[in-house]
Amino acid sequence: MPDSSSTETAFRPLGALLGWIFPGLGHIVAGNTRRGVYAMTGVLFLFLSGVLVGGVDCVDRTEDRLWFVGQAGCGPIAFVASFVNDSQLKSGSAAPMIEMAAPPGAPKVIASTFKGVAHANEFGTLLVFLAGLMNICVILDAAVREPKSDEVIGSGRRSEDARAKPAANSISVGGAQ
Amino acid sequence: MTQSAAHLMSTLAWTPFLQPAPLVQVWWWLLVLPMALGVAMSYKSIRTHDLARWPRDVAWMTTQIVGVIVGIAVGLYLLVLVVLPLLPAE
Repeated sequence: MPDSSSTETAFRPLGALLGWIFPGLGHIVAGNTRRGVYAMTGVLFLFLSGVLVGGVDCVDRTEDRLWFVGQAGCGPIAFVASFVNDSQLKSGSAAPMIEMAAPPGAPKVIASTFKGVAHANEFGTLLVFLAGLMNICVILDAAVREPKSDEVIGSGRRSEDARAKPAANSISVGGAQ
Repeated sequence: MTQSAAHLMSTLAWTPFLQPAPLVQVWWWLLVLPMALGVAMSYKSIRTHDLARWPRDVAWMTTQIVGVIVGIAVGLYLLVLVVLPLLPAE
C-alpha cells in the first residue's frame, strides 16, 4: 500500500531536457513560468555578458575543451557560439588572420585578429562557464520541482493577496445577485 | 596619440560579440559585478521560496559576493604588503 505521507520527490527527465535545450524552459513548461523566466534571465545574463566581454572566441570546443564541458551546460546556445567561432573567426571571415608569436622551432600559428587574449578572454570564458554551471543547477531544480508549485506557495504578501482575492470575488458575485 | 584617444578609437571600432571588449584589459576588475549579479540571479531563481522577494534576495546575495571578494582582496593586500615585510628574514 503506498504511503500517502511520503515526501519522495519525483524526477522528471523531460523537465531536465527542456531546461538544457533552453535555460528556464523546463520550469516554464511545468507551469512555474515566473521562476523559469527569472532563471532564464540569470543564465542568459551570464552567457551574454561573457560573449560580450570576451567575444565569441571565449566559447571554443576544440581549443578550450575542458572549459567547454562546463559551458555546454547552457545547452545548444553554447554549441551555436562555438560554431560561430569556427565559421567566422577561425575561418577568417570576420577579420584578417595573422601569425602569432611562437617560440623558435615551434610550428607557425595563424589566428584571427579578433581572437581574445588576457583578461578579456579569461573573464569571458569564466562568465560563460558560470552560466553553464548555474544552468545545470536550474536543470536539476526543474527535474525535481513539482509542476505549478509556485501557485501554492503560502508565504509572504502574495499569498495573503491570493487568499483575499477569492473573498473579494465572492462579495462582488454576491452583490451582483 | 594619447592613451585615452586610443581607447576611444578602439571602442568606436569594436564589433560586439565578435571581438573582445576593448576596455576590459584596463577595467577587468569591475567584471566581478556582472559575475556576482548573474550568479545571484540564477541561484535565487531556484532557491527563493516566495518569488516576490527575488529582486531583494538577488541584491543582497550580490552584495555578499562582492563584499567577500573585496574583503579577501583587502586581507591579502594587508598580508602581503604589511604583515609579511614585518616578519624576520630568517
